[in-house]
Amino acid sequence: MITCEHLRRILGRVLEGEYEPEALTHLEACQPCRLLVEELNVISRSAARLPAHEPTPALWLRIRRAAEREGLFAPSFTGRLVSALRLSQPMPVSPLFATALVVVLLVAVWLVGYPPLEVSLPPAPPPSPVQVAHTELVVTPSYAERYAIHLARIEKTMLEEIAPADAELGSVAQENLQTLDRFIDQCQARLVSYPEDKFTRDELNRLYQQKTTLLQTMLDPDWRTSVR
Amino acid sequence: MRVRLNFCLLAASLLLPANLAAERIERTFSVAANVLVDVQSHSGVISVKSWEPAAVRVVAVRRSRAVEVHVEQTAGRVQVRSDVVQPQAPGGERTVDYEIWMPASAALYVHLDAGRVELAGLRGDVKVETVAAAVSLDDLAGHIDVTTTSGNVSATNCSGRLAVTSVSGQLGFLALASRVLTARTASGDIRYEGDLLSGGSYEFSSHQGAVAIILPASASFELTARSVQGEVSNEFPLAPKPQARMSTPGYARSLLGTVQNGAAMVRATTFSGKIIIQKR
Repeated sequence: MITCEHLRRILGRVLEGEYEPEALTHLEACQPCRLLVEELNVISRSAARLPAHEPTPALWLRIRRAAEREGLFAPSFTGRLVSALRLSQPMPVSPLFATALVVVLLVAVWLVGYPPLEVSLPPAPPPSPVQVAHTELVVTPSYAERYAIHLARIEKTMLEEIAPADAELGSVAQENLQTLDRFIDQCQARLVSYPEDKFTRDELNRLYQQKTTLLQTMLDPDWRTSVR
Repeated sequence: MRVRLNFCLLAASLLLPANLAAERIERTFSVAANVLVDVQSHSGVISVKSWEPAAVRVVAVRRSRAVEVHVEQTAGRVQVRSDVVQPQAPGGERTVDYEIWMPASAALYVHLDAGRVELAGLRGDVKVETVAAAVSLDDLAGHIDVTTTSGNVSATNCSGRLAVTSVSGQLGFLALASRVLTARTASGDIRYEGDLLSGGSYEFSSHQGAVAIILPASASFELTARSVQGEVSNEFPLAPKPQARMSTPGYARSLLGTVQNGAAMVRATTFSGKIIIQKR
């Protein structure tokens, strides 16, 4: 069976659907990798829903003119003609003519009449890619599980990086992390029965703070030098 | 016979690893009274005391060549560091013992992984961080902030604002004159023995450990003691507060009330540890 590291190397092919039998076997057995692939697939699907923006013709025209000014290629025949006739300059408009044009347009609109009032409501717009990703990754009930798995993976990586050259210090950190995790579980179990218990929430918060402090200590370069 | 003995000694000395050569290093710097002394080491004893001269004196004894000692003075700071130069060396060979003297009003920062930190007679602010090292504080008057993972902490005769946090360390406080104390440990016990200052605030919190607060019979304080699953016992006559009913069900026991005039505020909380308020 391939390793997590190997799977990450062939992740691009896996996401494109080129599943190798070994990759499938690994994904069936390894929950973190399965979650990673699922999440990347959700992001990929959401990205595919993003609308394609075609640049307007005016933009292409401006780019072409800028390129011509820079001498990147010669101006077109039309461009040369416009330039020769100086048609690019706006023509002066008489105020009287402009007023007459507005009046004619208003009368034309009145003659055509208003659109009927019984207009059916437009269909609801499809969900945006962000809404799709949010629903699949955050709102679904597996969010807490995903979060816990990612957190556990970070911790595991950290603890593996800290080679136990000073085994005693390493075991102190491990034991205390386990203690904090046990207490965190106790608080969470109680909050299932008493979700309004502010004290337990505060205690849970304190425990998370202590765990964060401990993990920060272990990430500190001095500490890692010390235990490596 | 003597030749054979000398030969044995010579052979033994040759067999000793070069790493085990101990060395004593001494440095003294003239400093301003408000200098910051920054000490960071891996293991050993760090002892810091105050003295009269406007100087910082550092005496370091390293146990092996696996670790180097760097002592230097920069603007407003004296920095003392133990740097491991042989990363594979076991913990014992990283040991450096420090004795430091500094002006009483100087500030101090100490980081030590394992061993012991002993501080005495300081008046400036102090911050200590350890992993497994125990911390002993005696007669300190500044703002004191201590964080340990498993190291025990004991504070005696301190008068500054004191904040101590540990995961599994035991916390002991004796004869303090601090107006503000915050003590937090997850699995360790907390023991406070002494008087309370009028207007003072004293907070004790442990998840699983016991909290024992031992006070003179004349102590005056307002008590909030809550435990989710632990017991709460109190020897003082307590005038319950009118709204002292717990709003959350499921608490083993909680006590809220006033002793004497309620001059100080005492708050003790545990999840499963016992809380004891006791007369001395």
